[in-house]
Amino acid sequence: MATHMQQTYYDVLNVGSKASRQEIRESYVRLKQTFSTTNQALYSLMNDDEAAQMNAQVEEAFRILNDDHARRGYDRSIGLSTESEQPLTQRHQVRPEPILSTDPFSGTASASSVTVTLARTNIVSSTSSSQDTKPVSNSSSFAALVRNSQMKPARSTTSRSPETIEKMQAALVGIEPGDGSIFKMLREIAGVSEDEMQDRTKISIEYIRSIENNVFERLPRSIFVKGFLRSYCRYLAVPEYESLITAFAKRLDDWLISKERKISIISK
Amino acid sequence: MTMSTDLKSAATVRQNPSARLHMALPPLHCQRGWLLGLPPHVQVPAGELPRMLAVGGGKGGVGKSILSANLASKLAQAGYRVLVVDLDLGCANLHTHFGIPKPRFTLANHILFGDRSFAEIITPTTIAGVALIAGGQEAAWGRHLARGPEALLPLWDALLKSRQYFQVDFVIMDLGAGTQRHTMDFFSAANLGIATVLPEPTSIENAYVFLKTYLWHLVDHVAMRTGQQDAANDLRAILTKISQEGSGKGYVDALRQLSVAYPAYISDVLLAMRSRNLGVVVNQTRSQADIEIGSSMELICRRYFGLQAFFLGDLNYDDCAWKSLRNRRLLLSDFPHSILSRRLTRVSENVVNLVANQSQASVNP
Repeated sequence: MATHMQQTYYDVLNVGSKASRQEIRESYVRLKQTFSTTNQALYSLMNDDEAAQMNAQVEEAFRILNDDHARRGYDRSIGLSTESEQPLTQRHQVRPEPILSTDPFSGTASASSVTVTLARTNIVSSTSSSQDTKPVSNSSSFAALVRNSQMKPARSTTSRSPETIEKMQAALVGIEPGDGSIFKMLREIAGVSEDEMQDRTKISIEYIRSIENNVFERLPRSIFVKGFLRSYCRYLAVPEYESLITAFAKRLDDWLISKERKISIISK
Repeated sequence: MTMSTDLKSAATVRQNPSARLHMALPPLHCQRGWLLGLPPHVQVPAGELPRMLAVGGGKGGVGKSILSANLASKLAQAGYRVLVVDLDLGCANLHTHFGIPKPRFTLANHILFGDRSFAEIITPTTIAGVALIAGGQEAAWGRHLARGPEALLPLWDALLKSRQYFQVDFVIMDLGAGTQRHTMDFFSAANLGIATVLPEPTSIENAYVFLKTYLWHLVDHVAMRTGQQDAANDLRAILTKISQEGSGKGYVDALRQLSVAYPAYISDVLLAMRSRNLGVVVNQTRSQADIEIGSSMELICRRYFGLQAFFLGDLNYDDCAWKSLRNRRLLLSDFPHSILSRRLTRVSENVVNLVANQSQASVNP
């Protein structure tokens, strides 16, 4: 049993490493209420300073885990996930088991009503032997990552690893442009989830899905869609994306024209 | 469970409106983690054990007895056989909550005077399925308890064998106020210890003192049962420092630190802690903020003490509590349709859920 380990942000928020955003949010609200200095239930156990310290820890953990991008970086920095090329959901399935252990200290805070959810929090057993119980957030690259994640929507081309770009190039060979599923394929090659794409490009998830599934009736005029796709491709760092965008926009326009023609025939 | 009690409880369940509470309880045998936290002088008999529930909370007047009596009745209505023991030795008044006069024979006859057997001091109550052992009000209890922890050994033996002799499903121990040794010993024996608090600073403060003392006792018991006194001394030193200087990180952090030096001992302490559940009940709630104290305490007990805490529910402030006492009737019988009665049902449901799940987990690890 690994009884000695550093606390991760997941421990601080009392959630599992696979917790959804919703769970993280609920746990955060509950913790904030609990460690608020006005809470009667803290009486005699903690003074205001200690409560404030706990509060600060909770805030910090929430800031990272509530941001998909920062969270992925954090997961990598604590060794929770070693691969970065797959989408979040797939990565959890293939995550190697041995690095996980049951934390004997963390309880299940989510069991507010006692329907006995005795699930245990899976966290990483840290390889470092430091006694510091402050949540793991040490690497400077990680700090940079956090700063990046708090930037405004991505405007410039993201840098992707050469392998990823090669994969994208290989995938684009011989493909007839104009189909929305190409964008989905590229997104999956880059290991970017729909949520992340929405967060970073500020394109709504409905539009992302409509583009990827060719649901033209849900899309705005092609001029807007072109703008969306430019941010989309720039964020994925797709090489020579302009032809893909033009082809898709043309298909959208064609669809629109044919629809209008149909309407005019019917109205006649 | 024997065939006859099976049929009996099944019949009770059919007649009863609270039958939805009933859940089959798998046989419970002594588990290592539970044994580690027991007082070292207590011997556990072979065979099936009853589920032990203890109701404590440190401060007086927070509703320990009213909860014990009514929880026992709710469990009995659901078809379980319940034995309630008044362990507020010297100040016993649990019989009054059941609306019965002071029984002729009490615990004092069995323990202090030795003139009655354990079976003779079991008193029936007005609720079918609930039996009461009244605590004596004799002043001699003080002297007797001062003789040391062995003074109550016959009671321990009888309680642990109550499943075998009387087919008892639940033993509910109604503890007195304070953190006396025998109180903490009984609380540490509970599969589910219930801490009753009022939404008042005095009660909350005492509840935390009570829980700290409880942890100290667990630490002691584990050390004595496993012969790891050195480790226990170091842990005590750290815990004392935390108590005096305060640390937001709490006891969990102390255990974490010591786990490097004494991995075996700390893992035993953690096992003992994990084999017990702690229930939190907030009594006399008047507002939503009062109720939220319960879930906050659940979280704090987990984060600070590392205990497996669960908020079992709240009991609202209601005049029917004192009215039923004046009427000399059990609250549930006197005001069966009150909101308070419904909230007691919810607490009982949570108790059954917790205890049933706990034993399944321990039987099939």
